[in-house]
Amino acid sequence: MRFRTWLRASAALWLAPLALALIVLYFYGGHLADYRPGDPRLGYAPRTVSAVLLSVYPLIYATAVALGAWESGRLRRDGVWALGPARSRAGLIAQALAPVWLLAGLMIGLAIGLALVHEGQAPTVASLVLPGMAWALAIAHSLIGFAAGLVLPRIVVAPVLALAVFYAVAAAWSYEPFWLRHISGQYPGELGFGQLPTAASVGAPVLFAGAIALGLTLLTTPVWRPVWRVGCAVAGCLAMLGGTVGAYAMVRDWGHSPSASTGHAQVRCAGDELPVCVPAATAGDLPAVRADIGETLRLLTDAGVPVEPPARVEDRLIAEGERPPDTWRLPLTSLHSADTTQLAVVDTVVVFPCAEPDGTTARTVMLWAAGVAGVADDYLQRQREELLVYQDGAQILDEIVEQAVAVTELSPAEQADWYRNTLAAACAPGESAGGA
Amino acid sequence: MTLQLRACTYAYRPWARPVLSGLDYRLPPGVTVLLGPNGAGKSTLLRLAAGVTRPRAGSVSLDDLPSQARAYRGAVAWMPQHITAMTALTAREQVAYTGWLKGMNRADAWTASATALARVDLADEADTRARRLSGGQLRRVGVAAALVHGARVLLLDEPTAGMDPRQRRVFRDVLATLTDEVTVLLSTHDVADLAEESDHVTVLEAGRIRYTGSTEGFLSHAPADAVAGRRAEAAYTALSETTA
Amino acid sequence: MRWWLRARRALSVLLVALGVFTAAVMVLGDATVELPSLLSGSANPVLFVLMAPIPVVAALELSLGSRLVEAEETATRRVRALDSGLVIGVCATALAVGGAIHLLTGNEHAVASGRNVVFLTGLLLCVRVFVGQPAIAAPVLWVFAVIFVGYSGGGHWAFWTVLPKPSGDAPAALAAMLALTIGLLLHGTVRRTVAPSIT
Repeated sequence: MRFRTWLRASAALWLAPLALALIVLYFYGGHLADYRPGDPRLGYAPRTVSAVLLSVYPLIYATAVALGAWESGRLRRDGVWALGPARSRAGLIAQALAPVWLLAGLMIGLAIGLALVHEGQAPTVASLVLPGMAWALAIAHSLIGFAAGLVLPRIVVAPVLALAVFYAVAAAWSYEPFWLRHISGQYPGELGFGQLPTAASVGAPVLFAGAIALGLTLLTTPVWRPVWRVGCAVAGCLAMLGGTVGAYAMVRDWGHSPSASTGHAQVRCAGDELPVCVPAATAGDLPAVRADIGETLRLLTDAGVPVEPPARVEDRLIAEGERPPDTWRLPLTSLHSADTTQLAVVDTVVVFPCAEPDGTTARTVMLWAAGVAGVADDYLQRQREELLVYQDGAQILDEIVEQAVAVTELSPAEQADWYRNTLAAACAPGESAGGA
Repeated sequence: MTLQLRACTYAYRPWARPVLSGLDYRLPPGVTVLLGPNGAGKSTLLRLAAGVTRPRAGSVSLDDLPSQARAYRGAVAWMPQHITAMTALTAREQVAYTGWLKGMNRADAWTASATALARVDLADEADTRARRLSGGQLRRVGVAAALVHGARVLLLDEPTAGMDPRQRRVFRDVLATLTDEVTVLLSTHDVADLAEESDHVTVLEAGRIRYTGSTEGFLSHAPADAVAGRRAEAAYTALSETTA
Repeated sequence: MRWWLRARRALSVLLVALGVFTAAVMVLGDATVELPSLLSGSANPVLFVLMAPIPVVAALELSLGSRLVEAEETATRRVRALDSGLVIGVCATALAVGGAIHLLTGNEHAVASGRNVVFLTGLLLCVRVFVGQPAIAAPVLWVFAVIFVGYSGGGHWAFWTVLPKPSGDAPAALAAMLALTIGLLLHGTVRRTVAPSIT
């Protein structure tokens, strides 16, 4: 069949303008309204792709399943199977569904293309994992629709499946138990910087939908010999059951977010005594970040604050696996952008011996330590925002400022003693910090 | 009863080239065979005569009855090229349904359907689902449906397509048993089979009548050396070459 | 008439579809799902039961298309009137089902579901005279349009949506009756011209 004829004969051609227009509308009307791109230096194609696909998975699968059913009905209506074709059944099905697969690919490509161009990012191989999953699932859905169209009138099954699949996939993010959302085909989360979907998070939905498609195909394949017919039916049921159980087994212990592997971004480290590591994309910040961390630690140490320097400081963006006890993980890139690195170091160094120290005492200690590091104003700004929720917030703030100022009038040794004693006092019941 | 088309023009879309243009045609009594190449407008003429569609210009009437009158539709039976095989009906039910649609009551339609199927030698398949019938059997169902309500005018589009020689013989026998009061217009590509057993022949080409008259007059167009039994074919070929 | 009902597959298709509709309305109740909108980035609450009328409407399209074309086009009986009666009967049954479910269970959206069957059937009939069988896409696209662009924020559905409007909403009821009336008028009067195969 000529290419133009092949395309023209397919309903996918007629639906394509509407389907692609909806992708464009979704991108500009929906995705851009919600998407927070973050630091432009941290452009990460897998994150961009995962964010834009979140909205369009349901539309793609609904289109594929409806067109699959429609094309199946068309072949039946045109008597193709009754002609006793010399070409293989699989070949005829593939020929009929190929325009549907092409359309699904175009929808995916358009969505991720718009997003990547908007962010000024180039696609990477890793960023094509989720689009690949979406396309594989679109193929599976088209086969499910095709099988349904073989046995039921396409007039009924195409619209019903379109809506049912759209509803089912679009609502997946709200499903409980959580395993349902992880096999729905909608990767229910936006990837973070340096993150990639795990094989299981992609494999589970493909296994589920693929098994359903395979099972239904086996059930609807015409077989002459009764023994083989029974065999096909049994194999079809086993495939569907096995795929569902297998997919469930892969994801049953997951929480509301799908599993993702971390540490896929390039890292740059600097410093021998105190290595500080950030994403390579923001390596330009490294000298300033190292300086801030080093200066703050020195000031606190000089003031008598017991400091256990870390073996390594790393940005959370490039964090991988469980945190070693001697490693600090801080959002260095965003801290540096907000110029609050030093305050974060103070937060990390000042550790109270209990989980819930007395609020006023703890704040007084923190204010004093922030003052030592030269970031008292930053700390006060933060406290003003935090204490807004309290009726006597202003009074508390005045109190801690008064107390902290009183402490600074002591000698350095007395201040160090005061720090140690007050740290413990904050966790003693019924006591609060006093002056010297 | 005389069926007449007066200055009929028809196109399937307003902007398309007319299939029939200013056609005047009076259907003579008896059996008339309608010949013509593909695309000549034979099916269109039959559809207009059946009242399925209205001409863009001109009129179709049966004596004084316009084609949209209920009495017209009751007197005329139409068998199209493609016979619908109803999913939920047997052959007999489909024929009876046609009779009911033509105004027969349920009991009469049911009785007449058996008679009609017997006439086309399909009584054995009366209880078979229409979907399961072969192409030739389905065409015989179509013929039976045209006969069931005793129409005065039968308009048959390719009635013998897909029929084997025996079935075509049965069909010709059915034609032969029709009374003088029934007028038949049938289109066919089976020139040899039918032209010599009809009363009249009409040749349509590009929406225009090339010949209409008696069968003898049609056959006289065949060359003198035409093989016996293939005179109709030769006459048709000769007419086509003349007008080309 | 028995043959006409069988030709229309009234029992095997329409009755089953009405059964599916009944089950859907009872089971889905007032459950909502957050579906993405084009007008805002966020998802909006959409009733599951909005899609309940689709099987009935699709079954009606299948039923009306199940015709003995050659006989019905030249019939002396008023087949189009019979078909209109069938459509009205199905719509009335859907309304009655919705009312009964509301009385039995207090489901507030049941009657609205029946009304939506009426509206979408009217929409189907209006489009059907022009495009034939693919007209089934019209009710489906309407549901998608409601999801994508029907929610104007602030807890309000746009006036044109009809489907998510509550049972007592007068404009929605009027729209449904109007759609069905126009659809039946078109169905009864407009004939689609379909060219025969070349001969």
